[in-house]
This record gives sequence, structure tokens and C-alpha cells, in this order.
Amino acid sequence: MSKVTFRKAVKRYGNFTALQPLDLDIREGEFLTLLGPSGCGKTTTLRLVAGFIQPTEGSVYIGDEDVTGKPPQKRGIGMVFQDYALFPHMTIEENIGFALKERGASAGEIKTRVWDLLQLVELPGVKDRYPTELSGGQQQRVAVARAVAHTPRVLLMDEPLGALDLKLRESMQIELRNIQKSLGITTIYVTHDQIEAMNMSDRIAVMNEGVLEQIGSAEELYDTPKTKFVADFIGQINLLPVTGAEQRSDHAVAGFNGSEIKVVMPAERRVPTGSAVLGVRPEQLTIVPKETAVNGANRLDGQIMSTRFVGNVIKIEVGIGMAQTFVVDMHPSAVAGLTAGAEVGVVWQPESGFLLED
Amino acid sequence: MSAREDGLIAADAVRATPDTRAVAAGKAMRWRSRQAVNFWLKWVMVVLAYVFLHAPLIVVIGASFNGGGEYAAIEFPPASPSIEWYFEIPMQQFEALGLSFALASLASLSAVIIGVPAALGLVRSNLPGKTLIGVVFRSPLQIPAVVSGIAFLQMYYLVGDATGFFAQGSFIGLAIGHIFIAIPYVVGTVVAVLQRFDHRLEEAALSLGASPWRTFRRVTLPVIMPGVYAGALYAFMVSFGDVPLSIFLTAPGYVTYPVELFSALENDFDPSILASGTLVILFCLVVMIVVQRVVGLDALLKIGGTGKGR
Repeated sequence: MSKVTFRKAVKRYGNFTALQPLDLDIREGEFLTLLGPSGCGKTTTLRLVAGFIQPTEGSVYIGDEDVTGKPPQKRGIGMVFQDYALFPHMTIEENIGFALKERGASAGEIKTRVWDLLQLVELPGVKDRYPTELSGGQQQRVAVARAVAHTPRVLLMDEPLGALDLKLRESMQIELRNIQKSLGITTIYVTHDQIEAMNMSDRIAVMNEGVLEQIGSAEELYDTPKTKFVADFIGQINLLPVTGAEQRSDHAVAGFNGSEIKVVMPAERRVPTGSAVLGVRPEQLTIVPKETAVNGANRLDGQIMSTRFVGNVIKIEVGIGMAQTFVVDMHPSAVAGLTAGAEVGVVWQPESGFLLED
Repeated sequence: MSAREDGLIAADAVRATPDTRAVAAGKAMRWRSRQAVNFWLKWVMVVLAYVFLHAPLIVVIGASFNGGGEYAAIEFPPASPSIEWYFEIPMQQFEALGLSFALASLASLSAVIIGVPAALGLVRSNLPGKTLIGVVFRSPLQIPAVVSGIAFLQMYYLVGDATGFFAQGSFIGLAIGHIFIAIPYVVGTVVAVLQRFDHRLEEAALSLGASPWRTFRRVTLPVIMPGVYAGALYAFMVSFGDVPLSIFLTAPGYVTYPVELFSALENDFDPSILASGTLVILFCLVVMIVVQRVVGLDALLKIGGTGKGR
């Protein structure tokens, strides 16, 4: 159980920079997820901790030890791979016992530890089978057991649930999280699936094009995204290009299609100086009859383009001029008369919106 | 599948007017008869393939049991069954068999010792001129063995003139030639396995604390082993059955089994050749069974098929 620290770590391949200078502090016992689209540098970051690659500049620490330049086998890590990477020629017991054997543990010790771990991952009685005889989900649990058998300082997981189907993936998320909690092991988890990240993580580090965009809890990222990318990547959002954004005494204003939009943001958030977008979540919006007075709230009038029933909410798409649309989440009980073609107003509170740099 | 399609066709028939019903019924019948044709065609193909592959062996084995003294000829099925020819197999054929066995074992073992590291280098390293080196290792396959045989003979003469050691007609001389023709088979199969090797297995081993050497010993080597066995088996068979190269490198009294059979056929043919051939066929069968028991032939056939390809 150790913290992991990046200090100005950079990874370049020729002219291509896979990872821009990264400063990142991962706390002891924390479950941190690196989230981003493919090619964003999340796997590079993980492999820098594993030691499969070395930073071009800067350093990586595990605990207080500078491990920069150290080969993977001397780092005291455990890793779970997307396709499990179980050794096909070894039994489950030999797989899980691999790291212990490398560390010179006795046959008896290995046996006991493997038994304990198979209990932990709820797979008793498979120790003499071979990996190909297990299902995908079972193999993944074995892979986790193998990665933690030697109580590594850090557990690294590279899209470990990517090969599983949706239902199994959801139950495995909970299970992995429980195992991680019961071991209290510092964990770095890589995924491109924002739901998975939000389900499991203490904190999420959102990455894009080699840059760490923002790090924080799921709530922080959802409620107060710092960049347009994060706002767009985490959850659903309406992004509206606005003009003339400026800070007034207690609120900010911005213009869209001749209307003035009022935005009240927490004090630490700045109004962008360049071109700006307004972000507002679909569930913060509501629909009122056209030209209703809304005292203090924002209203943009438009026409309903389409409605879509998705179970708990109805998604209503409203054209608000300048080829822009807002998606509004409405409760199914509140949509009487809201059909395509209806002229309506979209309303939200100044506190619900935020201005981001475009 | 067929039941479902039948059902669909039947449903069509029910919904349809009497006219189209007849058409649908005709369709169903044609479909069924096509299935039957497919089924029989498949069987005929399989049987033909087996006959094609095994008829020569069966004729040899059958004819070897044909007695009839001096006037014997190849006769199948045997006219007067007897095992007399099995006692007439000349001693030098057994000696030749022993030599061939030793030679093939040495050739396949050496091919493994040279070929496995070569394959590793060809796949894993980023050596400049890697492609060229690959071509060199495969070249024995592209040169007709007769040409190689002549080349080796000439080389041995040259080396002999210079050093006084003439390798032709010696075990070492034969062995060098056989290793030469055996290597491509090991390199070929091991390269194929390594190209499909999931490098994450090695990363997993490293992350679990194994050194690069231990990773190779405990993970890489065992996983590519079926490919090594397959290559070694091919190498053994190529060496064991070689005539065109060996015929230049053997000397009287020092002859491999295929060359011995070859000259026996040319000079004094009698059914004892069939008898000794039968013994070798049986021997090969036993080897196959042992290999199947120890490694599993399917493992050899889909070399390295243990990991999932991606």
C-alpha cells in the first residue's frame, strides 16, 4: 500500500508526445481511474507505473521511492490485463502462485495463500483447472487474485472488464471494488467507460490528448467540470456557443442569438476571456409554454424537434435557433402536449449553467 | 437449422393457395435432396482422400506378406501369404536404419538448438537486415536438395584438400548437411508461434516479479513449446527421409536408410524391401502415437494455439 506520484513525467515517441508533463498524486489506498478516449495517454500513464516503459523526462514514485528507470519486476506491482493474460500452460493454482514462487515461498505457503485468494474472489475449487476451462468472468477473477497474491504496493488494471458483456461487467465492477476495499490496496484503473469510472472510483483523472484535464470525484467532475472536454465526456450535457461573456458584480452574462443569459458560478470559477460555451445538464432544464415570464431564470424559446422515451425520462430535443438544440430531460408524467412541432420555452436557473472555454 | 428451415417452408405452404403450395412443396423437396447430395459428396471426398493417402502404404504392407521364394514380385493382395521376407531383410538395412535414426535425432536436436534462438531473434529483435537473415535461414527450402548435396560435396573436397579432413562419407559430414536442411522447419514453425505470441503474458510475468530470464523459462518457452516440438518433428522426418542430399554424402558401408533402399531397389530388388519398409511404417506409427500421448498431435497441428490470437 503506497501512494504513487508523477513529477513532470513526459513520454515521447519520436515527434509524438503520448504524455504531456504530468503531475499527479495518487493517495494511499485510493482507487483512482484514468479515464479518456483511446489515445489519450491513460494506458501510457499506467505503463509508466508498471515500468514497461520509462518516462522521457520527469520521474515516477511508488511510495517514497523513485522508481524511474527501474524494471517492472523490481517495482512490487500487480497488474490485471484486458485479456487476463493468464498463463495458458499453468493451472489456476500455479497462475495465482506465480509471484510467490518467484519470491521463493514454500509450496505450503503458496497453497494456503492460493486457497485464501480463491475464497476472496469466490472461486473455490478451481485450483487444478486450466485458464481455458474457465469463463471470461472467472478468468478475470483469477487474474485479480494472481495480481494481488504477493500483496503488491500498487494494483494496476488496464481495461480489465473490456472483454466481458454488459451485465457481467456491472456485477464485476462492484466485486472488483469490494475486493479492492477489503485489501485496501492503492489501485490505478484504466477505462474509456465513464459509467464504469463513476461506479468504482474514489477519484477520476480525465485525460485527453496526453493531457490530464481534471482530477476529482465523480460528483466534482459532473457538477463542476473545468474544461469543455470533461463536461462533454462525463455525463450528458448541452453545450451552447455564446458571445460576449463577461463577469458582472454577482453574476456573469453571455449572449446567444440576441438573448442575454445569466450565469452564477462559484467564486473560484473564472469567466473565460476568449470564446466561450455555456454548459447545462439536460436534467437542469425544464420546458414551459412559449414566452412565459420566468423572473430571474433563463429562458430560450424554440420548437420541439423530437421526443424520445428512454425509460425513467423523456428526452425532448428543442431547436433554439442558430442551428442549436437543447436536450431536456423531462419526467414522463410532465410531458402532456409536448410533441414535435410545439412552440415552447426552455428554462433553467442561473446557478445550473457554467461557462467554459471553447 | 434444417428443422427451422423446413418449418418456414411448411408455414409458407400452409398460407399459400393450392397452386403455390405445390411449388413450395417442390422447393422443400429440392432443398432436402440438395442436403442429401451434400452429405454424400462430403463422404465420398473423405473416402477418396483416405484412399489416395493410404493406398500406397496398404499395398506395400500387403505385398510384403506375399511369399513365393525367388520368383516373388510385388503382388497385392498377396497370393501366398507368408512372413518369409521378414527374415530376408539384409543386415545392412538395419545398420542403415540405425544410422538414419541417429542422424535424424541429431539433426532435429541441432536444428532446435540453432533454430529457436534464430526465430527469437528474427521475431523479437530490431536487428538491421533482419529480413535478409530470415531469407538465409529459409534458403535451404528453396535450393533443390540435389544442388545442396553437390555443393556440400564440393565444399567437403575443398575443405579436405586444405585441411586433410574429408567430411564426405563421415557421420559429421552427413550431420552438417542434414542440420542444414532441417533448420528451416524449426525456424518456420517457431517464428509462426512467436508472431502469434501474446506479449502480455511476458508483461504479466515481469509485473509479478520474474526476471527476463525467468520469464523466458517459465512463460515464453513453455508456451512456444508445441511449436518447437512440431518443428523438431518435421526436421526429424525431413532428415530421416532424405535421399537427394544424402546420396552425395554417403560412402559404401556408411549409408542412410533411404539411400540404402534406393540402391537396393536399383540393384537387387526383392520383397524384403517391402518387409523392411513395413517395419519403418510401423515404427513411424509408434512414434506418432508416442508424440500424441506426450504432446498431443492437435497441439502440433495448430502450433501454439493455446493463447488467444488478437
